[in-house]
Amino acid sequence: MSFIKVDKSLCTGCRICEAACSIAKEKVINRARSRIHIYRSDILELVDRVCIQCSKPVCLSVCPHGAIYKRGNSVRVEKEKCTGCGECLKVCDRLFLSPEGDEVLMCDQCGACVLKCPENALKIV
Amino acid sequence: MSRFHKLLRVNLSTQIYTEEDIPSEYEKIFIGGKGIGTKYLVKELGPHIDPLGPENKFIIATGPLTGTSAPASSRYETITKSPLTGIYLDCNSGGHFAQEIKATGFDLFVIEGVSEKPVIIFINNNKVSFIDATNIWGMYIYDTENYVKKFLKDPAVRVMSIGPAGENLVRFASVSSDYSRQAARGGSGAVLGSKKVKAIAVKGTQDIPIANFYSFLLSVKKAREVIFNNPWVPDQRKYGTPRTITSVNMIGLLPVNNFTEGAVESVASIDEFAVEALNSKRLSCGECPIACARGYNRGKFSIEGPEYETIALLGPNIGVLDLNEIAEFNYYCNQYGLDTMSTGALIGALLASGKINFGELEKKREKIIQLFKQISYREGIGDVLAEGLRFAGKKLDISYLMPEVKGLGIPAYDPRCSDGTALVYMTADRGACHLRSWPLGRELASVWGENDLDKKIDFVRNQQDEKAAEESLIVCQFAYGIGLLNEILPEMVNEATGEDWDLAKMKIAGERIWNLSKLFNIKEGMSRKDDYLPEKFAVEGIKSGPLKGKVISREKQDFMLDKYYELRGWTKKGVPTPETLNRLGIEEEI
Repeated sequence: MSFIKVDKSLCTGCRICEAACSIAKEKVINRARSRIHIYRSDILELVDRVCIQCSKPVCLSVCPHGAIYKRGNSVRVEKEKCTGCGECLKVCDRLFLSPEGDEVLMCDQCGACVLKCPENALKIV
Repeated sequence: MSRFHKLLRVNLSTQIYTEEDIPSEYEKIFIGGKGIGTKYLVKELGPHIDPLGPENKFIIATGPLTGTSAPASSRYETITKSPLTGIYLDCNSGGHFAQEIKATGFDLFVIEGVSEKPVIIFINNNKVSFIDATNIWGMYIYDTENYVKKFLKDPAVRVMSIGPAGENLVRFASVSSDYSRQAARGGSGAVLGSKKVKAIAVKGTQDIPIANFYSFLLSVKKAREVIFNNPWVPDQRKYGTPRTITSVNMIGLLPVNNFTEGAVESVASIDEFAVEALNSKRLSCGECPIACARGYNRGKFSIEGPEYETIALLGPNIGVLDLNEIAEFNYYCNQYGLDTMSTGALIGALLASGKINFGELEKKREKIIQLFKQISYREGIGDVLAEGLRFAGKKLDISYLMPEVKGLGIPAYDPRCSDGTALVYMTADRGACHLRSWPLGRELASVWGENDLDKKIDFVRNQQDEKAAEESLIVCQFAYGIGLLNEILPEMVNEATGEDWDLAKMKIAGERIWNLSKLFNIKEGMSRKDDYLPEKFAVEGIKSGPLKGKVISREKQDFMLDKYYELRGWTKKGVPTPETLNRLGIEEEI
């Protein structure tokens, strides 16, 4: 049940992780395809959004297509089954809709962002 | 590639928006950013139009590296005719706005016409909507940004906005994005205000096209190594721009009491360590591994900063040595949307004139804060000050005290300290600007001696060209150094675009851009007479500090201009010769 933890005392909000994620997962540079997002909610407030692999994932329970499943301890999205209906997005803001709206993007802890973070603010825990 | 080859034209008068192709010839000879933006400005603006009228245009430009994963590449340029100086204006700003523009699928936005009512322009990929902003006209910058995010129900939408100063057409009003990042100088904010644009919200979800994807990623990796091997970077990471203040004071070129003295007894209360003590968190622009910005957290008065220029011009230059006070001034300028540099220079001159009784300590602090408000809302004397240094100088009969070139306030390095810096201020395209070339470091390190004036002049000319190219790419000089210093820049551009650049070609493009903005200024009536420092800097020596007594005489200024024009292939009057324009391939622009 590992997940990417953002240490907000170190994060500077550069969003290098977002591009790194889209490169690793989709072989393109497009921050809108990232599974991790950092944004500012106010002048000095950073908000991080990435799946934290809840032990009882609500997204899984609300998915009408059985596209979100557990393998061992890991929560995953099955691309083929996901329609992008967005039910999971109503209960969790750590998942994202693809730009085409046909698929939900969820972090799978590949660690590409961790390697690229210049501040060592990301860890797989 | 890494370019969309497209611009988005938004007409506010008709609320019609159109897509246009950017000709590949423009990309080949002007790079992007500042270059292509300048090309469109020159092409589309007739001479002598009112900068605050419907004919002025507001161009927002990105470069070939913007939006990619190239380090320190999230910067945009705004290009317009300045309401402060009446000439060419470009501003360069960081944050995250630039990446989002690129992700909409456009390299450039051209905002034109005037909206009937206050409006938020929402650019969502290739769709534009015009949202009524009547209810938020008058709102401060941070609140505007939060309002727009909430209204659009998207916390990650990027917002550029103006504050009350821009709305009230203060001629040095800034444009802000990411709360505390400004395209500040020369009155960009007033241009948007005149168009009734309260904010521009941007959302982009397009893939950034990369010509050679994997080789590009390798160049990015190399670029990161280049940056971390730059000996200048570790201190920039640790202290940001405030690290300059100690050395500037020690050497004696700090503006103190309206550029009268060159140093204060101690800067311990406002130096990089003082800033660090108040720093609550390091902050970064998009895709930047340096993160040189500091978060100053004091509840309501929170800012990103203060940066060196603000500390100096709203600090010692107005007789203030209290960092909390400076940060508070910075906060008000942020929220009203005022350029801290122009405002600091203006208040410095006003204090020196004795025209207003500022009082001491707490009373003075309150008076200054009141002045920010008066300027932003054009109340009382604020209405005169809102017109900028040159106009206010004439109106209040204190022109002699106004530190400006072409109407733009002088930055926080006294030009009397360095011949090269004086020439930089004298010849910069938008008026006194410290970002066009940086001979200061070399001069102070005694790389050149007193008799090496020719070398200094040549250095300035070269670096101006290189900087124009750097601001067209667009990358941050704090990461890559000032100008075109490393092959990694053309390498990244080539891998991203599939084009064929090298440093020499980029430099020529920079020279072309520099000449093009010069032509714009000449059409607006600028000539040699406008390329001098204010009289004070030629006749009145610095009053205290290690450089006590130093001036830049009018004779020296003339000598430098003669030589500079000659090196540039300009006439004695500062006009590019037909041969020069021909060599640069812009002869049809005259």
